[in-house]
Amino acid sequence: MFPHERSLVQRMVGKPFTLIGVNGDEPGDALKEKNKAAEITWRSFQNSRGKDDKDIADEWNVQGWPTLYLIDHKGTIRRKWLGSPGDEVLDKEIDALVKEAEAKDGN
Amino acid sequence: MRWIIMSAGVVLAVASLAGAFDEPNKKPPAKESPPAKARRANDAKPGDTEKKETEKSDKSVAEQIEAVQTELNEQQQKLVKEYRASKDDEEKAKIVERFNKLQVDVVEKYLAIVKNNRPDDKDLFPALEALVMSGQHTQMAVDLLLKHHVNNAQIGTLCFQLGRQGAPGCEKLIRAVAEKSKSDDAKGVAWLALGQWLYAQSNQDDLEADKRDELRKEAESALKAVIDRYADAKLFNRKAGDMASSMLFEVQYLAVGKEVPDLAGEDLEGTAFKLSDYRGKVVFLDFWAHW
Repeated sequence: MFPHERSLVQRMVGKPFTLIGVNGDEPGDALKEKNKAAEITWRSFQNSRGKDDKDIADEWNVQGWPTLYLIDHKGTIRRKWLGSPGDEVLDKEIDALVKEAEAKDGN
Repeated sequence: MRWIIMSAGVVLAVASLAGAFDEPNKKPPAKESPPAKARRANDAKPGDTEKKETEKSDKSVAEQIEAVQTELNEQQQKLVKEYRASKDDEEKAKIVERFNKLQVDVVEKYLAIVKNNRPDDKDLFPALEALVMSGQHTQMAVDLLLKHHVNNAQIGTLCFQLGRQGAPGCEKLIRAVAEKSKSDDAKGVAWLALGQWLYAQSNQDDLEADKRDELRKEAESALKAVIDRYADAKLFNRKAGDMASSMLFEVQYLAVGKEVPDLAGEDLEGTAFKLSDYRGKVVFLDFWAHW
């Protein structure tokens, strides 16, 4: 998915859109190196929140990776997928919501 | 090849079974057979199996099933080894073909065992389970399970897996086990399966709002039943009560149409931030990893 995510982020520069990850890897330098190599520029939460708190994926009942949520500018969950539905579907759904957000800005 | 890594330790290949060969660190997507109690090399002699299993066998049902499982495991391991050793694409494709055919053949063997034995034999359960999970002869196997195996302690897990797949006919089986099973474990897991299944139904695109609400309400009450009455039932080494709590949180707060709950944590640099920092923008929230 990374190539699509990279191009998505580039395509959306200056638009009311952001890609936020929840990363399930072990945090640390090895991960930072990997992210650098894969040109991952977007911000991610660490899935693990330490021993005392539930991992984000557990709290959110994530059944598999990737799990994707699409949230509109008002904070409403509009779509979610277990596994990617494919780049075309994602682009279409995201574009529609960004258009909504832009229409709102213009008013 | 697209992969979904399932949290419960199940790996789903979206594209095809062939993925089993490409990912040496991951389990093949085929359902794992329960471990065979003892190896019986004589049972798995190639060539003589086909004829034997269409006739009435002298061996017990449990022994017949074990023989099928042992042979399947051996053949699968052999093919995976051959695949990894092969350098030739055409040869690899042929091995994948043989691997896929193996899954088809095994279904036929289970079918023969089911047909040649008393449908209420409790040892028949793994064969019926395999038939249901294969997606072939599902209706027949579900009917037999419904009629004769509702009290099996393992049937809850099967209900859960079927519900997750959205297998046809699964609702009837799940409801029957939830309501009638004499095994508390099976019953609890079946309520969990019902909650999950109803919630999945509520997320279909072309649903009237009323119907959606009704399904979600029923999903919530099924999950609450697990938490209140069957919290200690076990599924994949987890407590059904804990799984029901997580699922209930999803149904109540993370369903399509809900306002997203805030999410707080640290980014990969260790800086604290919140999802709500980005309110006003469209947010694509992606649970990802390098694996």
